[in-house]
Amino acid sequence: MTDAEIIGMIQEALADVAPNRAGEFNDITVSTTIESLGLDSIATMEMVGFLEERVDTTFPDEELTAVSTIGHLANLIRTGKAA
Amino acid sequence: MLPQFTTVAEAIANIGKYFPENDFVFQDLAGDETSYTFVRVEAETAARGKAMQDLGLEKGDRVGMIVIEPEDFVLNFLACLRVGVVPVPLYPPMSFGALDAYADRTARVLSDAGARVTLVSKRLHSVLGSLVDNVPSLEALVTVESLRGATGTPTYPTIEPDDLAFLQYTSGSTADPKGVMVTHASLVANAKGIVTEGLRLDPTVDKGASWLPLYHDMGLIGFVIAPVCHGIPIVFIPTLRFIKRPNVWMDTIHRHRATTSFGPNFAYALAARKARPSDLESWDLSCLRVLGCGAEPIQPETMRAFTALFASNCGLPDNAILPAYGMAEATLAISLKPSNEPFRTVVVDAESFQENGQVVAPLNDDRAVLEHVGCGVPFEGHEVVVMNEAGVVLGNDREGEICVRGPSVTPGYFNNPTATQAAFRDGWLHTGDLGFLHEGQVYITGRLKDLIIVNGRNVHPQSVEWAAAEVEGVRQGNVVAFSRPSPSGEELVVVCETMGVEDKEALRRDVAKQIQRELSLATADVVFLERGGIPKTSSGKLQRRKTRQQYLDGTLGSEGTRTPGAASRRIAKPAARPVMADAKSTLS
Repeated sequence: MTDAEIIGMIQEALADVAPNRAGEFNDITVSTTIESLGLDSIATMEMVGFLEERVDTTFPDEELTAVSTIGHLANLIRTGKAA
Repeated sequence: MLPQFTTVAEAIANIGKYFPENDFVFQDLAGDETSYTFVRVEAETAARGKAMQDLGLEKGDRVGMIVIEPEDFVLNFLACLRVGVVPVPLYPPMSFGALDAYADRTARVLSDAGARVTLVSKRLHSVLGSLVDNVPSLEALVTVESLRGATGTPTYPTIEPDDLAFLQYTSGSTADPKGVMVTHASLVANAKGIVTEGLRLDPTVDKGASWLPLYHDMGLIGFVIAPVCHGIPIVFIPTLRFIKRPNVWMDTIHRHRATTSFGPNFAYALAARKARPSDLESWDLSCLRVLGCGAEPIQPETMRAFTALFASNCGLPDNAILPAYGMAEATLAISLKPSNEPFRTVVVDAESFQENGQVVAPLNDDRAVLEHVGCGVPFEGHEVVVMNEAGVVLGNDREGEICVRGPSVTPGYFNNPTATQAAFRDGWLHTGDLGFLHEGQVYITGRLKDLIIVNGRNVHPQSVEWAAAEVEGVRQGNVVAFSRPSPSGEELVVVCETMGVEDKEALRRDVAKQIQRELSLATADVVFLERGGIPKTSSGKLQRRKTRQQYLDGTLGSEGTRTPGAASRRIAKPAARPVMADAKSTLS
């Protein structure tokens, strides 16, 4: 998957967990930090669940703790590793 | 029926004798299920109790527990109780990054508890390694995996009803952790109230299903201790699995024909939002008798929307929703809606209530109203009264502080006489919650303490204020945090005085980011005021409640103040039109 495809998928996930704020996620890039998205821990894990379901996998917990940007999340989707 | 045990240790020892076929079913994160009959639960907890003693642990020693999988959590927790070791359940890291702040909070709680050992899930071991250095009393981190397959029989110490069973740390207190001392006697008393009086569960008929965190009283006491004391079978869903895939909740209930489950308000909003048409078509939820709701303020519209959706599509009985009131200091539950009735609400005149604390019907059709949810009837042998600030007991239909006494009330906070004396006075637990009594039911309307509850998690406003004050441009000591209502419960609002900041948007982002980083909390609104904009007392103390009221009224300061959302009007001063119509429109 290309970065653009993965970012599209992440935007879908964000729109799913924060439907009222979907418009705010149009400009995310690989360098956008997760914390700048302003999600609480439940919405964050809900987003992870959406992505796991989409790519039919379970991300390892220890890799989740290493995620701090959209780029890390894209790596995780592609390779199962954050870095 | 089972005999009435006097300690939970005794109940576990006998669990296999009365309903040997009943079981605990543990899902793992992938959804695979393992069943332990009660006979096997007894044997397994004995063997793990021996393993605890082999670690050198003795009666009264505290053991931290940071365990993800319900199977390992429940078996080790019960094993501790059998041999008198005192578990201290803590939540695992559950999000991206921010591990430093998490490790810091966890170390403070374990230090306060004086834990000698902490049991952790293997994959948390490397992440939590620093705890051993940062908690003076801690001798070792032990993985729960290493305790699997234990054999042997422990030496059972004598356990008395008044002995400490475990420490329940209330979730949000970061700077000053407070561990509620939960005794065997209070657990037995509360379990009886929940199972036999409130929910009227029958071990030959009923079955529970729960995704609730096991480090929190509702999941731990409601779905582990109470079932152990009364022989009720339970299916455990890992909390993380529910959060990632909310549909597993109703799906598990459907597959196992569960009759009983619980969740905070937000979970009902989430479950309704996530259910797909194909799910609604396939689920048969007619088995459900009790869907309890507690741990955060209950929004009647959320409950009605949930019931309407699942009653019409899945056969959910329309009286299943069961509002509940309780707190860790009262072990778990204080009152529960009678399980055979629909939940009640009372619609009151907003102005009379807010100005005078009086519960009266709206004076005419044009008046703004408030709707409060009845949280049921107190348990037998327990008393609930409403007191004013002077400690005078008020009559029915008058708002004041909810105070409780009875056998479920715990003896206080661990090694913290100051906090204990503040909350437990003259034989009464002063809950800090505001409410009233009406036709025999307890209604909760707000809080004396300025506690913020987001997604069932208690957050002290000070911890948010301290985080915001670290941002450059925010005037230190001039930040106020509070909650505003939202359809799914409550959300966080922060008001800051600023000095010489041009780019307010950037500052808004920085404040939200800092709160996110330190507390993993989303901020719904940040309001900036000039110096002196936050209401203070004559001695300069911040007035949180007044700031909140002004915010909800739309009269706070000037710059950056936003009009509160429709939902906020429900607790604001009288709005121009009846507020329930507004609240409905926000629930899409």
